[in-house]
Amino acid sequence: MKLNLAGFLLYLCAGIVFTYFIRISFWLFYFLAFTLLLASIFSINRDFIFKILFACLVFTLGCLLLKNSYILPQHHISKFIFYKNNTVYTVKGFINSQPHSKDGKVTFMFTTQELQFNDGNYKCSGNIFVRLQDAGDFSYGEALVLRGSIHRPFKLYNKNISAIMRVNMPGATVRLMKDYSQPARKLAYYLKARIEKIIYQKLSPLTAGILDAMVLGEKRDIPAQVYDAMVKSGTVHILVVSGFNVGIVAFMITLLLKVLRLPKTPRYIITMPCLIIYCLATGASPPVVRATIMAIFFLVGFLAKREPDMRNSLALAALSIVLINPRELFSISFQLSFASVAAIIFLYPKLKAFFKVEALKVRFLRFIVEGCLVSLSAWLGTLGFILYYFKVVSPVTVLANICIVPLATLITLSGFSLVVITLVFPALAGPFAWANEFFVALLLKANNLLLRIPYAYLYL
Amino acid sequence: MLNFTQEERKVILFLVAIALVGVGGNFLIKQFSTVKSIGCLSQDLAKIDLNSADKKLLMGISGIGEKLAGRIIEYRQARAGFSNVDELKEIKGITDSKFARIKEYLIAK
Repeated sequence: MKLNLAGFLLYLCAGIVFTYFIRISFWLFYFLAFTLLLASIFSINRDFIFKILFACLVFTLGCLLLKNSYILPQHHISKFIFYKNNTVYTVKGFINSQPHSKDGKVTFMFTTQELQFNDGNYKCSGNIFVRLQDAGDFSYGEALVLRGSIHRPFKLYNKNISAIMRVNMPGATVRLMKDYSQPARKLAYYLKARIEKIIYQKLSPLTAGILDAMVLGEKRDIPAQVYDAMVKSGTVHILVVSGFNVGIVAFMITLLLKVLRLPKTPRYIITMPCLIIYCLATGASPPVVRATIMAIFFLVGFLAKREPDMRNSLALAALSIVLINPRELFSISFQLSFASVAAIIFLYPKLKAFFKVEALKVRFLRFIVEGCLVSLSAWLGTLGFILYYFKVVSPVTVLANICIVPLATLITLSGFSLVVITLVFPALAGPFAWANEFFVALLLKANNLLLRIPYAYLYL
Repeated sequence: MLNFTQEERKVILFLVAIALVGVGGNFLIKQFSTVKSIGCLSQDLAKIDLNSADKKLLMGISGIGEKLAGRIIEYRQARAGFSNVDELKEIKGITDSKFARIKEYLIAK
């Protein structure tokens, strides 16, 4: 099997990492890239020379992509923000995410269009994160004029957020009667709001908070103790929307369409836009984008009657993210998500062969051993990153994942069932809600029990 | 790795060339972009009117507490309204530095 996309990704990422650590001149590298492009064209028939020249070309493209992402236009909002100032800014733009309300405060991403400060009006661009002291009911796409203070963020630069705005007075917000929403995202946020409403209506706050994180990727209502316990046991990945959730959504949609007696081809065609809507609803974080692209790759492979190669589909998913925002390469979610899946794809078959799993005659035992090896591969793949970022080693992770992941699957499935049943037969929602409460309680108990094992986790 | 066929090589080189032109073009646009001054946003937008704001709204401004908001409303009632924001300086408790901080949020219509 050819690994062209994986090779392309590897050289591109090498270029991005190189530029992250070493300052380069954009025009020098641009000239170099064009020279390499011309040389590649002229040596297209020479196999070995073409490979070397093309690898250098892709490396240079990676350098240029990251360098370009650092450059901001002169009218970018961050160019108007000063380090220490009490300037009051008036910004016109529109809400670019689903607004979240908590304790009388509303937060959202805001795409800026016009700016006013020190008696001057300017055209501007870029996203800012807004914290609004207002109990108003805002919606995605709504055009606003805001008045308040703006400062630079410390940690959100990689997320394309260049500034944080605080609007502390209710009177400092003017709603303009304009809508800048995109239909697909609007539909995704509408569905997300409906699902969240059902979850919070039918379940207790703790269960609702955990289910909201597992189904929709909203971590805001998870108690810190629960999150901390999950980090220690190495099972925190179930509290964020990841490939695991996308897989369950894809499974549920195809199952639902199968019940409706739809043939395979239309079933798979319908599943694809549904997955994109789900990806948008959960904020399109790197793990979800990765899983969505891989799932679509798999479905397209089926439609085209071709065997999809997981290594190339993983590389395509990574390429799609890195080409749009090369700085994502340095985000924890990107690194953990791709490292775990890459380890499962590359390491798991080797471990399986090493432990001679196929020789096991008892099917159930083989299933358990395979599950352990998948978990071990993912743990080994992410171990370096976890040590670097979280400074914790969790030998209990493999065992914890064997116990927790099936439970998490059950919770996600019963959570989705609760939503569907509430929409179709609201009177029957009770038993599904009780089941969710029970499974979540079981999950927390099991996790706490695992953490009591001696040397379950060690802080560095 | 990178074992492209002849046809694949042509396509991938074309795509990389397009990507290079795109990156270069985007860099140029950003590098030579200018700040455009416009006159669309009204200076009064999102400002609080001193002549109609209630106590709660005034207290929303950082630097104005309950007492000061009460004094502003008393002043407004005594003088039948503010003719301009500078009149705030006459109120006890509003120093020059505080005035500089809060004036950006206020207007007298």
